[in-house]
Amino acid sequence: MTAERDLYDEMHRWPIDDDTADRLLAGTVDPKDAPPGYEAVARLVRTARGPALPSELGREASIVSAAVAALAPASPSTSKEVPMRKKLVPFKLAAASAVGVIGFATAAAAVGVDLASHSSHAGSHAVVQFSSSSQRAKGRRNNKFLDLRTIQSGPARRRAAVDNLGAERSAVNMGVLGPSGSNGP
Amino acid sequence: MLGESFGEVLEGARRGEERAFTRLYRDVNPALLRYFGAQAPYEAEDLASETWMAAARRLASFEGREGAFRGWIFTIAHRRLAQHWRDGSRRPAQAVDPGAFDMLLGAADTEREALEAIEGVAAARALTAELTFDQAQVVLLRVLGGLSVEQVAAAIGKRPGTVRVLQHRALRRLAAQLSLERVTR
Repeated sequence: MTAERDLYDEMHRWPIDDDTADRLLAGTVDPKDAPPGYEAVARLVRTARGPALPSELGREASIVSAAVAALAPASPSTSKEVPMRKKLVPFKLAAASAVGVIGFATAAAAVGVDLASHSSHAGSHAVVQFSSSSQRAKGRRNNKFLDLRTIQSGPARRRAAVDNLGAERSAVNMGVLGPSGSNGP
Repeated sequence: MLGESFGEVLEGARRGEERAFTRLYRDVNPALLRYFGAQAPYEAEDLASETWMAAARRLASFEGREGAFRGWIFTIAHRRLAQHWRDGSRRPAQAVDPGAFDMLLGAADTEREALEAIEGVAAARALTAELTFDQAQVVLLRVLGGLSVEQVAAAIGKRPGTVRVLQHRALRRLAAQLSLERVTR
C-alpha cells in the first residue's frame, strides 16, 4: 500500500463533522491538533487570515476620503428643506394651464369659433351625440344653423389668430414656453 | 476586530468622521483584498475600492453588530465580483503560484512565520486553486470574510444545507490535494 493511499484511507476513516469544519475555516484549529490529513489545511487557513500588510492599506487615504464624501445622509427624512419636486409643482401647474389655454385657443381659431359669441349662445347650443352615420348625417342637416353661427368670416378668423398669437407671446415672455411653443428648452 | 468599540466607530463613520471610517477600513480591507486577489488578482484593488464606495453609499441603512458588518461588506464584495465576471472578465483558470504549496508546507518554523506575514494572498489563492467556483466562494467567504453558514447562504443565494455540503467537499478536496503535494514532494 502506498503512502498516498494511506492518506486517503486516513481521511475517510476520520471524516470531519460540522463543528470541526467550522473551526477549521475560522482558523481556530491549531495545525498540530487538526484531524488526520487536515494539518496543511489548518495551516493554510491561518496563513490566509494572517495579519495585515502595509501594502494592503496602501490606498487608504484616497479610498477613505472618497468613501466619506460618498456617504449618504444618515436621516434624509429629518431635512426641513422642501424637496425640489414640491418646489416645481406651482410652475408645472402654471405651465400646464398656459398650454391648455393656448391649445384651446388655437383649436378654436382653426375652426373659426368666436369664443365670445359662442359663450353667449352656450345655452342654445347643446352638444348632440349620434350613434350612427345616418343619424350623424341627419344631425348635420338639422343643425346647419350651428355651422352658420360658428364658422367665422375672414376678418373674424384673423382676429382670433391675432389673439392667439398674443397669448403665445405672453407665455414666451413669462418663460413658461420656449420660443417654439415647447415646454422648456 | 474592533470589539466593544465597533458601535461607536460605526456611528462616527456614519457621521462622516474620516478617523472612524479609517478604523473600519483598516479592519476589513486586508481580508477584502485577499478575497479579490484570490479570484481577480489584476483587478483586486479596484474591486475593493468599488466595494467601499458602495458600502459608504448604503452605510446609513446598515443595522447590526460587527460580525454582521463584515458579512454585509463581503456580501457587497461578492456581488461586485459576480458583476465583474458578468461584465466579461473570466475567472482565472490558475491564479495560484505553483510554488505556493511548497513554500507554505516546506518552510521551517522561522521561515513560516515570515511567510505568514507576506503570503496572505498566496494562501488565499492556494485555498481555492483546485476548487470549483461554488466551493471557492464558500471557502473564501468563510475564511476571509468570517461569514457564518447562514450569511454565506444569503450572499450566494443557496440554502444553508447546500453551503455545508459545499464546504465539506471543499475541505476534503483541499486536504487531499495538499496531502498529495506533501507525499509527492
